[in-house]
Amino acid sequence: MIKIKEISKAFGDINAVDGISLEIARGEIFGFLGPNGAGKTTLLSILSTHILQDGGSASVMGFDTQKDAKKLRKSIGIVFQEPSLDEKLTGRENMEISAVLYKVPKNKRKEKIDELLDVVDLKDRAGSLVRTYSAGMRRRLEIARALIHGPKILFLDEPTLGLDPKAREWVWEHLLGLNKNEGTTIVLSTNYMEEAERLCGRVGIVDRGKMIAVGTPGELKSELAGDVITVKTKRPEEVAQKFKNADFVKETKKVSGKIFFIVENGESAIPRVVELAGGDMVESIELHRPTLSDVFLHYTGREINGSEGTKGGRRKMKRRGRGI
Amino acid sequence: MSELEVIYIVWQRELKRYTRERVLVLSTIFMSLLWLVIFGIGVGSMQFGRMIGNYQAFLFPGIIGMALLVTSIRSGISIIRDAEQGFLRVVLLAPVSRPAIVLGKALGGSTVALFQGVVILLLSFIVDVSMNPAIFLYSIGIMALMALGLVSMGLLIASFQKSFEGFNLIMSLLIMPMFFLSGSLFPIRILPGWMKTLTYINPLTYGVDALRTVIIGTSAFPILTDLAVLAGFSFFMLAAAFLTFERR
Repeated sequence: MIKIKEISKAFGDINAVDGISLEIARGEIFGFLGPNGAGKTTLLSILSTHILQDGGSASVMGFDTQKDAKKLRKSIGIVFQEPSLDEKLTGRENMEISAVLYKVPKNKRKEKIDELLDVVDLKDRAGSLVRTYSAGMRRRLEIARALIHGPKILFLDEPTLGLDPKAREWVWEHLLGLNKNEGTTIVLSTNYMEEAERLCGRVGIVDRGKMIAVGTPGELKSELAGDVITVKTKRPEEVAQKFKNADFVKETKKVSGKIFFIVENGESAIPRVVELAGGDMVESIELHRPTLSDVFLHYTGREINGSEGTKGGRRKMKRRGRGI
Repeated sequence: MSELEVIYIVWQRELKRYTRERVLVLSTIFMSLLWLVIFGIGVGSMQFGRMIGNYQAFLFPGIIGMALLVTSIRSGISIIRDAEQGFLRVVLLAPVSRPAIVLGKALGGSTVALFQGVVILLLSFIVDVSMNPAIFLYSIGIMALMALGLVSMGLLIASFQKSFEGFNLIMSLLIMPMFFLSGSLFPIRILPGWMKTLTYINPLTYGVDALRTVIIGTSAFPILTDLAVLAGFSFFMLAAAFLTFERR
């Protein structure tokens, strides 16, 4: 359904996407997981024909992103990361414009709009100006709008960014339902590992323009083969040094103020970790089963929501887009 | 057929947005009245004004031109706001041809500007010019042609601008000079050579001159010259707007 071959895109000196290849099958929910500035938005922008890649090729439903842009656009739905509604129009009016732009037959338009507004629980507010909508309502309207022409593929860039937990839960449930009931292929980007674990059949971990791992959340986590112990300490260097020859520790990662240990049996390892680190060094200690965040840490040595991502890449991309 | 509907829906959106911005509508009318009444009576009382005859009547087509100019440019560059809101991206990424979108936007903006012009036209009784259905209809035709060119010019300017804050800059660097150098406030024949030249290269001059021909019967150029310049201006601006948006 989606084929990506050695795609690359640079903005000035920054390689936003650096040679990514991937295939996504019909009916999948695939998530690009990575920190801000990892290149997820750029990748989605290339797939949705928003920007042109520098190298490599990509096709969606057999349509090349460069040569068949118009046909490709007709078969996909897009929900952007930034707001994209006309605030001075009502919810229904926003839907009507997209219905015309996506060539929904005139006699089916009203029915389709009513149906979608109903699905996203906006029927009662459809006549109000979007300006008066909450963030959650806007996001729901954007999702409804993206589905106006019954696309086989839906692209969503950070679909729950800035939403409260309730609105987020709503979005997740509906995306899962859409995938299950309509068979819609869903491709999304996220930096919430919870979102990736909850929604995605497969996850591609993206960092600095490269895809560093692909697989089901289960597969990715099983690569760590153990439990994760996090030790909070003021002197990570010193503590890490002490664990150099500890054979019960499979992997050690230092980030600011914290050390992550991957160990085979977490419960029995805790006392040994505290003992070896020296009790006065340990501010707090925590044990959990591996999450996708730990997988990211394992591959990159950095935390996924740490502040090391470069925001510049995204901002530049917006300016140089094919159509703002 | 469906491209016609695209043009229609984009046109309709412009109108809806306009009718929901009453303050803007009223402020343009207020500004026009200010020029027409206060400035018109003031200058009309001076010796210069008396030299022209009924100065307010002379000024009237110029004020229509100004209202069209301000509203048209504002409509054209409102596409920057569409971009900031993210709405433009939705439209540009839809599987439709770009010229249909640009044309819808240009026609929508023109309709809005035309409406603004008609409101001023209806105020003709204030300045004592005779109005009849023929004058009214001819004026509408001229105004429509002017608006189309000016909105397209606004769209063109917008495609080189990144943020809406530039509006004030455009206002002082473009709109005011175009208005002052359009023969709206003073007859072209009394101007020094350099000002004459600038006035001649200003497309607004020909719109105001055409309106003046129709409304009060005096003019600097033959009406056919006026109409030819206006048609050429509108055509080239619209074509340029098509090309810049096709490129994006």
